[in-house]
Amino acid sequence: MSLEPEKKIAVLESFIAKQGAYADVRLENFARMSGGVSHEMWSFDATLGGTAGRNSRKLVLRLDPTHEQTYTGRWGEFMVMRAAYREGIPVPEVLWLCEDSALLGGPFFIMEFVNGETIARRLLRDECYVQARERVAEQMAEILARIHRIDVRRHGLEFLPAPAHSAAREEVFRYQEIYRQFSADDPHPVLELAIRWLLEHHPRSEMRGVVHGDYRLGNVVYGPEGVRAILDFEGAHVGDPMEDVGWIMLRPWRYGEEHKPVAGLASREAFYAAYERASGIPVDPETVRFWEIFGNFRWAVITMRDGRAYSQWRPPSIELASIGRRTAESELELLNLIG
Amino acid sequence: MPQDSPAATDLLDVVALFLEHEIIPSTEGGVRFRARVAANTLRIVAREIQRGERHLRDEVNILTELLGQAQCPAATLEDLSNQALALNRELCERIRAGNADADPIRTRVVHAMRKLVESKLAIANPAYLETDRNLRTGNR
Repeated sequence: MSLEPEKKIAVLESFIAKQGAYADVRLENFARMSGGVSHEMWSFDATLGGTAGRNSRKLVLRLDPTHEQTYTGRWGEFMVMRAAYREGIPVPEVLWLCEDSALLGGPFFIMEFVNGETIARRLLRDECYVQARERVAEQMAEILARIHRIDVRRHGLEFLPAPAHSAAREEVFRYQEIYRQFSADDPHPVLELAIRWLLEHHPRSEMRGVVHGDYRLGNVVYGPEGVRAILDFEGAHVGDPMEDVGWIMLRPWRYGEEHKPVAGLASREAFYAAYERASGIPVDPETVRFWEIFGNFRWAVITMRDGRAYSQWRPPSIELASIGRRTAESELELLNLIG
Repeated sequence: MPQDSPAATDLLDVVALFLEHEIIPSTEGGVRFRARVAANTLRIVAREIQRGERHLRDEVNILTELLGQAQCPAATLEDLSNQALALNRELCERIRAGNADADPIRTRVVHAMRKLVESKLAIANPAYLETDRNLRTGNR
């Protein structure tokens, strides 16, 4: 999985020179950023020279791995992040996109580096984030309401996958299909129970909006003052906004703070209230519960898929290798919720 | 002829301790995080060596009983593993066909699944299992 862009600095330099119309581009200090299981991210310093003189910026390269299939692809993620940025939603500014795999071995884009912390546990534990701890859940609710309101047509996002009928049923089918790719070799009765339950209990009425698709603390850049940017829009799609609200409640991202279901930071009620204030849309707890159960099913399928991806490709990633053994946690939670 | 001492689980233990006591405190960021994951992974392997076969036997017994099938003793670990796979497939098919939608069968299936998932977690993440039990005996 490691494409080692250090070896391709010259390629990247000429790409940026062309895209940004710079006479002279120098890139250095490449550093692999942590947390990328499904993609690679590298930060680097760029010195950009043109007719107006030189400036230095810290940038990020986001690169597709060779095996991963995401909801949007790199191009789609670029488009959604650009739309969010233009709407004033705190996301890194995306700069240049390259869909030609010949350059770096996969499609990639380049975005602004947002300085800050991304390790979720630090927010919950470290002394310097006392203030941020009070604010981040409410800020995440407000920002989420704004993401959900992004106008698909105004920003040319009609390409996003959108449900024909029930978003809930279609999402269940989507993850069921992924699970079916390996269920014969790796049958999981708890997931079969979950599929039956989800197809039986899907919400009868839904709203529509741009769903982030992986909205949780691990995809937030924050500082002592609170949220600085939201990352990782590769799972964005049109669907029921409550999907994101259910996802943020999942146990794997409570980090042991079980009495605060929202990212280990806040109560459900506080998060719903903040979301309602920002969106004007009432939150139905039963609908959120459906999406939370779906989220556990989805997370179980993702951990299985990643575990199998490791066994198949053996990328030297200890995170990817160990994630498959987390499926049982989601299974237990599913039994707690639907048993 | 058996391997010489120390036992595999003891070797794993000493490497995990090395990571926990020397590498984790002296590193930071991504390396520190991955060292923690690495130590945890070694602990999983050690528990699997100790309890893996027992788990598989329990699984075969529980599923055989649940599905009302005749017990057939497995000669090797591989037989046992193949039996577990076949039994899980059978149970999945029955659930997909709707045979576990209604009680009392559904409750029996859920009960059996809880036992098996807890047994998997006793290897994969006993701390999680412990937290879950405390939460459920409290008020959830």
